[in-house]
Amino acid sequence: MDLSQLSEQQRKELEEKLKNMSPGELAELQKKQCIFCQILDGKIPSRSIYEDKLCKVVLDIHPAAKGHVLVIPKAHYAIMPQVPENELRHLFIVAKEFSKLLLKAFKVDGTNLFVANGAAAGQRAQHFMVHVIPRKEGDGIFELEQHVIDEKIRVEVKKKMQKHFDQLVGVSQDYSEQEKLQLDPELPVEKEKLPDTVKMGKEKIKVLKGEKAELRSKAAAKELEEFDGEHVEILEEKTVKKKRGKTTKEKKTVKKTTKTKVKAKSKKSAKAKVVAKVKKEVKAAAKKKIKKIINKAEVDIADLL
Amino acid sequence: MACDYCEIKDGKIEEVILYEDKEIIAFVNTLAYIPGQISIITREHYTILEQIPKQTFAKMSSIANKLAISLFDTLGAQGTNILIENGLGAGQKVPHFAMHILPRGDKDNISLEWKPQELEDFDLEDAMIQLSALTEDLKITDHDEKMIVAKSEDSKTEAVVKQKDKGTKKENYLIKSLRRKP
Repeated sequence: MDLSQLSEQQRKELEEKLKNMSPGELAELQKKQCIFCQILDGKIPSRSIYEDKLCKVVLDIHPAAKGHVLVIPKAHYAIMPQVPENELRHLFIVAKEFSKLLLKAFKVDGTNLFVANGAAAGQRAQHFMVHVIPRKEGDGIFELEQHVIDEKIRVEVKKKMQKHFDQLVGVSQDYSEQEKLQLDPELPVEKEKLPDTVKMGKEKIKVLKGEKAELRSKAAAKELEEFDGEHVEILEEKTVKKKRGKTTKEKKTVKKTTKTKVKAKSKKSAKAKVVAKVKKEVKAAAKKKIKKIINKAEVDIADLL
Repeated sequence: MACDYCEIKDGKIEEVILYEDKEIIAFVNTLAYIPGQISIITREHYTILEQIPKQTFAKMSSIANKLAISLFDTLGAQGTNILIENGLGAGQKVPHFAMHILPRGDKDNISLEWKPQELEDFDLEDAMIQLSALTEDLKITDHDEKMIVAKSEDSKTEAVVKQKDKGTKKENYLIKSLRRKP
């Protein structure tokens, strides 16, 4: 169907039709309109070389060179960002295998893997695919001129893209800041992000300062923060109870000993004991958590390797 | 061997690196076809595609996809190209394998189109026969797929790798300190 040949009224009708369609119907229509979907269905004849669950490899009808093949996903995706990650990986692995095969079969000097997204990039069909093109020296395909790009432009590009890209990959912005700290320990630590005092009753007690300084990886710091939040309240209650208990005991001891100095000392030591105990508990629990995280990371990495 | 990209991976242009882990690095390239061109290279020195492990290449492709999305969204590219020049005959300029992502606009001065060749049916049939002979025992099947799916499902692991990669010293120290005080 050629859109330019439609009259004004027909166009309006078509637009109205498209608006009223459900997503399923739209997908169906797209599939009908797409030449490559029809090739995949076998409605248009093609020279198919390879086929699996996710994709099909066919010879290009208008090849750049003899042996030019297309790796086409079976589902209809217009551009690369729509393709699910596992399928994309598979498509590229298939393309890689075919690059090897082309080198073998046609004894060429090299291959190009090529993807075009969008009309501006030279995409002609509304169906994503990976081209694998066998190349010979001086065949005149992709004659491109290299330029030296100014440093300023490059840094600008990086600045603009970094945050957005990090989000796509799943690395958050504070995370990369944590990472910077790892790389350069002399950079100032932001106090808000790494609190080193925890309120305990009326007093602010420095808890885990040394440990925290060591735990700059995001996962660990985050876990630790959550952990602090949960447990400080409980610990607070405990300490208050203990303090009350001890003060009554102290009163008894005070009755026995008349010297004020001893009284002060015992108060201090009791307090110190409580603080030390709380510290110990917090530290022990924190260590358990850290161990878990590290073990998990190690398992993940082992899996990857 | 003097290699431009190996210099990069040794950290000479930290300020233009967009992504790195223990296998690959993505950076804004100096020698490029178009400003804003991003290249993904392997840390290991591989010259051509055939030397690269499958899973590394799969990861490169998924990072390339994300970079392409990012180019669309942040630099206002109207299209993107992914181009791999595999072999000097294919236009490879540096003897270190790279995957290029090119942001495209409507009126940029580069052309990545080709003149379709008028091949005879005979030629196509010949190509078909040659390739089919090689694809008979080609297996790019379930085993790969499972691996791929398992890997892609957990994108966090990649972040963990990244973290581990840079924080090796710190974590080793932590593990040690944990062992010291049982």
